[in-house]
Amino acid sequence: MNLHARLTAMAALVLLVAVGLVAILDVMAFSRSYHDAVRGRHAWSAEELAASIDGALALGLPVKNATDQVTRKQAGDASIRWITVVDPAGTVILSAGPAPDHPLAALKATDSGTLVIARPLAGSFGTAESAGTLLLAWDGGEVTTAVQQMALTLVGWGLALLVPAVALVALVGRWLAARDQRWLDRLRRRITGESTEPADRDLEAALGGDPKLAPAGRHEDSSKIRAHLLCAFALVVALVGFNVTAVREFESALVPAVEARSQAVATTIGSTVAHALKLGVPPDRLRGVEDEIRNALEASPSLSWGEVLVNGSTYRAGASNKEVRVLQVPMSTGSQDAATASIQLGIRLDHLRNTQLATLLDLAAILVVSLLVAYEILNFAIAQGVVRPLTRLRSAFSDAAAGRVHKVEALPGVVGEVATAWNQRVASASSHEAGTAQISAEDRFGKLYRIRLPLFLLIFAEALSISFMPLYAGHLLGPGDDYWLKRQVLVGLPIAAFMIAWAISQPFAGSWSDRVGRRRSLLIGMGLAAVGLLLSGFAQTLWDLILWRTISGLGYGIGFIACTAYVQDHTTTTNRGRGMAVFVWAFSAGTLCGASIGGVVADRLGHSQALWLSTTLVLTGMAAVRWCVEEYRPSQAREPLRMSQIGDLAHNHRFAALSLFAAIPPKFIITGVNAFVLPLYLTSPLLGLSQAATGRTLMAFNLATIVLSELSAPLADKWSAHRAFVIAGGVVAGLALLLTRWWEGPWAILAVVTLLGVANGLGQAPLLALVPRVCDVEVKQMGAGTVMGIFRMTERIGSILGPLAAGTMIAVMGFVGTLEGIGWICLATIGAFALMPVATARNGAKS
Amino acid sequence: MLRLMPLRALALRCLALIGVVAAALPAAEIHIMMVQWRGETEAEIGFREYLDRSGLKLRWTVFDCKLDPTRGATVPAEIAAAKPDLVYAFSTNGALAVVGRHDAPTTIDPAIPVVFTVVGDPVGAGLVPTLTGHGRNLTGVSHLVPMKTQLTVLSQVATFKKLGMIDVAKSVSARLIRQELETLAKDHGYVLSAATVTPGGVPAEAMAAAATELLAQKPDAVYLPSDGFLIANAAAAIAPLTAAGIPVFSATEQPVRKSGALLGVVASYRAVGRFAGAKAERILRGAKPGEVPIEPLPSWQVVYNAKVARQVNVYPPVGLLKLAEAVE
Repeated sequence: MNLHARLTAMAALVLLVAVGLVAILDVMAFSRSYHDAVRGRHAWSAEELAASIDGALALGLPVKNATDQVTRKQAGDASIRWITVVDPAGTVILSAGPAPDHPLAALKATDSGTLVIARPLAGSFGTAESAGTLLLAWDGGEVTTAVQQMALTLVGWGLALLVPAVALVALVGRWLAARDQRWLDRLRRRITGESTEPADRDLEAALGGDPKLAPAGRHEDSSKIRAHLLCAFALVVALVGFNVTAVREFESALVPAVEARSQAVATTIGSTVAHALKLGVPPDRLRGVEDEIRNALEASPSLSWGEVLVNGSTYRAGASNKEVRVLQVPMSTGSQDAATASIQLGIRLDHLRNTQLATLLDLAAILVVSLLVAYEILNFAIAQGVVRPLTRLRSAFSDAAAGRVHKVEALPGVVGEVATAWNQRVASASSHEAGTAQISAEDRFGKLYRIRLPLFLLIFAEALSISFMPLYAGHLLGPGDDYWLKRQVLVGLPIAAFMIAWAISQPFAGSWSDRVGRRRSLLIGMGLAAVGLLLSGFAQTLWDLILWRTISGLGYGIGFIACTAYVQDHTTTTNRGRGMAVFVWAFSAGTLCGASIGGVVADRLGHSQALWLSTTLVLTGMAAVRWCVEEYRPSQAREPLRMSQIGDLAHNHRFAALSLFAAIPPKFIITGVNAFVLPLYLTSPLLGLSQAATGRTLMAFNLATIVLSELSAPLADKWSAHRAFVIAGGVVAGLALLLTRWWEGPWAILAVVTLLGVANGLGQAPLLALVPRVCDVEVKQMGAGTVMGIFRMTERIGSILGPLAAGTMIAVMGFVGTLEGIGWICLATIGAFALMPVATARNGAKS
Repeated sequence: MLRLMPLRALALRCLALIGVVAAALPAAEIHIMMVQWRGETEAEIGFREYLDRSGLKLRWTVFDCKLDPTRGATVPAEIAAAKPDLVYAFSTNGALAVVGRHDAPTTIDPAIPVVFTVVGDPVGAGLVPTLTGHGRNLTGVSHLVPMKTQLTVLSQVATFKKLGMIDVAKSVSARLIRQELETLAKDHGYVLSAATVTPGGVPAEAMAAAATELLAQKPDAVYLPSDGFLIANAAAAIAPLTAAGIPVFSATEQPVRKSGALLGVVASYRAVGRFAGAKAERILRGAKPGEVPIEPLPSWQVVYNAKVARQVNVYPPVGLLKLAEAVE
């Protein structure tokens, strides 16, 4: 296969995956919004009926009196299957439509496409007990049809965008490939001696020519950048184009669904008024119309006011100062006295805009996730398919220039022809001194990109599963189950078990990984994680879920530390910051993706299915490791971890200072502030953001980390200023937390979150790069994995302390006080770190 | 308790059925004697309708008191002669004619079970000392909606500071209602003024006189209690009140449906009769009357006369109209 076809196929595949992903997630988001809109309409009907029955009960009238009204409501909306009222014992009091004998059981059944809304009835006057429950079953078919239609529309648009995008890649790629082809031809002709035109500096050096005559720079670098740019351009155009279309399609489908609810409100008010008019009540003598409107508005936050106009009389209720769009519905009264009758409802514009904005932001989050996933795959594919064979050739050239002449392994395609030419030349020219392949630092660094996709997928799967874990645990626990612990604590146990297993397994996993090798320990860790996720999906009770989560946590501990150590193995002091940035990037991107789409995926697929999706992600990562990552085993065989080794490390005061002052505070911030204080603060009545808006605000943290870590780490390496970057990160984080002193509100919090992400992006990779430097002796004695494992476990103290300390602080100081307090703690610790001479290596050794 | 009724009734019915099979009761004809007070009403129709579908083999005897207390006094003798298996009694007067007050029983054979309907207040009327554990071979259904409930609904329909009421001399049920209205007057913010009619002579004239008496007192609304005489002759009193623009409320449905009252929070006589039929069936299938509770109907309704509303120009709120049964 030639380079052009390869590039096009690769880009087409990435585009297909990305557009497919964005389409699936968009349809899921649409399905949720549409479902919510339709459900809202029916929930309103249930609420209105129940409020009316409550009113009847308050008058002392029996529930049965509402029979006619319930029957009218059921007959009036084709998608309401049945409505019943049951007494507290579950016996049917009244019913309209084909209701089952035991309607309460239908609340739990989810198979038939019949969705049930339950609304408890208040007790009648004089009795405190519940009067029963109103159950309204609606046909989910309406949603299914709309979602199918949307899916078809989006698939159509997806193909319509995919075809030109692939065509663009093919076209421009053809030109790119022609360049590569010409360069490779020149190399081959130069090697075989057909031509003497210098093609590459390394090759010239290897052949004994003058390198300066060859064009400067390495062809494959620019080739890689061009391929990246081309694919990224096609990707962004296709995905952004797709989402712009999706936003338009969503609105045209959702607005009528949302409006149907206002229509239902109008129809209900109208039928009540029309009934009175039909009985001969004169239009100007209607009573209680305002109450009916007020009751309807109470259950409909999207409506500002309502007005009933009959002949010259106006009945109106609600606030009038809101910006509204007026929905006017004519009313058929069947009465000649009231010839002109209509209902007007003021639909709040801010509510409409919020709905639209929420949709827009949902789709934007999906776009970011899809771009990140596609970018990861693209990186992996270009590294594997384009750069790797060229790097092989390059190594052979530079080795030969350094006097170590060796052959290249057989390579596919046109590159293979060059390799063959080279090998023939090596075989014939016995005059050269033979040597073995030596892996350059840059080549070793290139191998990091192979671990990046598996790590990304592993963390993606984890963040995905954690986002709905408390809900899943609550579902398994059942509504009535009561143990010696509070419910909120119980549903937190699976995550806690997972985190503890992860933290504790790390030192052992690190030491074990030093002995069995990175690839093997990574595969086993991922395998355990996958098994844990798979079985979590089959969990029957909270207790076996905790067991499966523990297994998963163990797997994550092993896999995570294998990845960290792998990065350390493949980097040196000059590029370790960049290496760790690769790691931080994959970690942040995975967290961002999982956390952003976890909710909607679990909501649409179901909890178990979402866990199995996570399993699939981990298995895909395993496949990538299995085929693309080579085994690396540190040279000396080592003993298993001994407890005394942890003690030895603790005696290294530089390690202790690094852990205590630089590593624990960021973890404290992530779990204490990002995962605890801010969600509570943002959703509290003080700021009043929705869950979704809170989630989107917190996304800013990982986004900022992703952008910053790749920018700052190379600078830290270049200036050898890892310590300075760690300090800068700490200072930015501390000051960011103090920001709430002067600026409050959701936007201030967004700024705080973004700045915390910036701080994390500045400091995290250099911090990880510092570990082997302050522990150079221990790394040699114990192994890189062991040291990293102990470090990773120590920093988790911050993760555990975070929620506990933050919870206490909120109780004492309030939200703003807590943020400020943590800010000062941050500044104090980073100050202490700056004063300690931690970053100078003890004996100047470079690892 | 009321809500559990159907389940419990079912369970008891099953038990009774097992009893029937086990004891192999002779499938002889069951003789039911129906004591009416003012001819056949919807209550008797409901009672018969229910029992006719029960599968029991029945024979009926009917005795109508025709609103006449002297005829009523002959009821125990009639029962002694007919020897029925069960006696049905309509209204407070009818039930008292059959069994008498608990402290002054009639000569009826205590072995014959009695089921009554349309008794507003069985305790107040003296049929039983208490609703449960009374020890009499007696059960039945009360047809009155709790007065508080009625007043809550009525005050939504019209504002009344002065509530007029037509009382009936010597009527136990009317007296009980008058007492209750007086007790509740303060809480509901009205003054009660009553005009009393005495049955005898030309009923329509007596009723018209009562209406005139009430009109002189200028009430904001008038309440018609549950009494056989009143129900039968309601129109004569209602017409002048309506003409004067005074809304008339009724404790029973017939004045709303047939005689021009505006609205009533009522139990349907037919439903009351059917519910009594259910109780009779349980007794005939072996339950002891003491075990079958005396209770009001578990459901009642708002009946509203739309034509009268237009005449008096008083209209209930639309929310109540939604729940009401409208008649013209």
